[in-house]
Amino acid sequence: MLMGLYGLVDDFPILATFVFTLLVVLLSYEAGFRAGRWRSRRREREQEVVVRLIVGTMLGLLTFVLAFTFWLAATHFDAARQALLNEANAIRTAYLRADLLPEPHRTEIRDLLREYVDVRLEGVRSGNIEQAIARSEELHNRLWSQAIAAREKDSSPILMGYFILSLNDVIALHTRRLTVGRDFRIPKTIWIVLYVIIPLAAASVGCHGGLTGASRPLVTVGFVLIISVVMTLIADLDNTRKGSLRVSQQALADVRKTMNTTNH
Amino acid sequence: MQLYGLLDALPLWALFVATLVVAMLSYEGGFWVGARSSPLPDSQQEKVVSRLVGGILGLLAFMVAFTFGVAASHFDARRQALHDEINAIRTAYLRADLLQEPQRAEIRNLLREYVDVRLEGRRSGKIEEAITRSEELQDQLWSQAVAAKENTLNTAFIGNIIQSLNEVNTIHSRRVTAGLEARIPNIIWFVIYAITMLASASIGYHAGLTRSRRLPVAPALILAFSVVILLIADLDRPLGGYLEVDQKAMIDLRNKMNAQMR
Repeated sequence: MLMGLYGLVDDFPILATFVFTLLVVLLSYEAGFRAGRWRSRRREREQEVVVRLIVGTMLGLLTFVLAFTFWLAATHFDAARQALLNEANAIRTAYLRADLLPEPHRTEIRDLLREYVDVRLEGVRSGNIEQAIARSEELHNRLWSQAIAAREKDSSPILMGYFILSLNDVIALHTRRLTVGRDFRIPKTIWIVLYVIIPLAAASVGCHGGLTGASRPLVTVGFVLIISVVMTLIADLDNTRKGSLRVSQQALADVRKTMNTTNH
Repeated sequence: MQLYGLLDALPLWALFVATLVVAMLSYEGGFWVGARSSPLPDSQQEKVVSRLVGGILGLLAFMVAFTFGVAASHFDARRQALHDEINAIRTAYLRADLLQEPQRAEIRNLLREYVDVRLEGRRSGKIEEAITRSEELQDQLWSQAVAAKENTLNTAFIGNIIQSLNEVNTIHSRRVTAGLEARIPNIIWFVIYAITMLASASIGYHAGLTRSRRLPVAPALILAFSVVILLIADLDRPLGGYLEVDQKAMIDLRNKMNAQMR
């Protein structure tokens, strides 16, 4: 059941997170408000100061948990950006070090690396991630067989060693980008817990409002909006492949450009 | 090892129920005491009490939130270590290509078995056994690498494989540390439960003292704290929680290795 719920949150478009959170907060606030107002009409009443303390603590807890979750999502986003930069550097290094290899492997490897960058840029642009991954892994195998073939010919294993190191880096960073994008996400139980404590907090705030007065203060709108916005931001940061926050591919595109110029 | 895992004996749902019950009982107890104390003489006194209760509650929120942050970063570290390990094994597997037979095939077979042992240990929960077996395999891999040295002229390639194997060993230790030792210490759990009980009791006491009715918001607060404490326990447990580090990437590696064998 938990997995199903997680998949549900994951497939949400980013805007749906906003609307969903907004509704959850509004409805729980309203329910709390009505409950509070109903209770305030009875003779035996809650003391306002007691309620205020509890509601304050509830909001404090919610704020902290939201802030930490935001921090987690921001860290993951940063990791995705870092992985892309590292990959661009590794590809550039491998491309340069291909110079150390004998022909025809040098040209062969450079062509493969150029195609590799194209595949990756195209995969992100078109959104056909799975296809790009499959093609990238084919290219890894071909690059590796070229390197092994070059080894048989070459007499300078030290230079070969350098190329092998960068090629391994390229392959390792492929896996890294994959896992950062796919696996380094906010754990599902954190989402569930957030959607448990958000309605509890909103209902308590509402209850406090209902106990003390008959109307809903205007600042309620701010409270509802800010929670929805922060949740949306967290969801957006967490998913590097959707929404408005995406990792810029510029570093990789720059590498592609230098490949064209050094070739001629 | 004695320092960690005191709470691991309880399943998570039981831990959640226990937290809830303990906090509610403390709340009721505080209420009972407060309602039987003589009412406060003036509003100045009342302010002092509510400041104190506010302080205790604030401290609880801080403690719980920071522990949540710590548990979440431990979880991230475990995930990170797994992914680094996958990369290290994959690199070592590729670099074995640079060696002569029979070491090439030997090292690849050992690495495949290494991945199997780790996946199996995870699935069956027999962690200690998997660790012992992994360390045996590391020794065997090492002797193969040393044997390869005698067998080749290209010492640079041996250097490459040696480097990879060292990395596999280092990351193994890191996974063991991240998985079994980077836990929330028992003393912190003890303090969290003590503050939770104290805070619930003081809410109750405050309500009782001011002759307030029983509040619907107090159980809501207690529920919210119990849920977050449940989350901390879940993030903190390497095994047996609702939340476990996804081994899918390791299974992918296993499949890739098999594909390359043929």
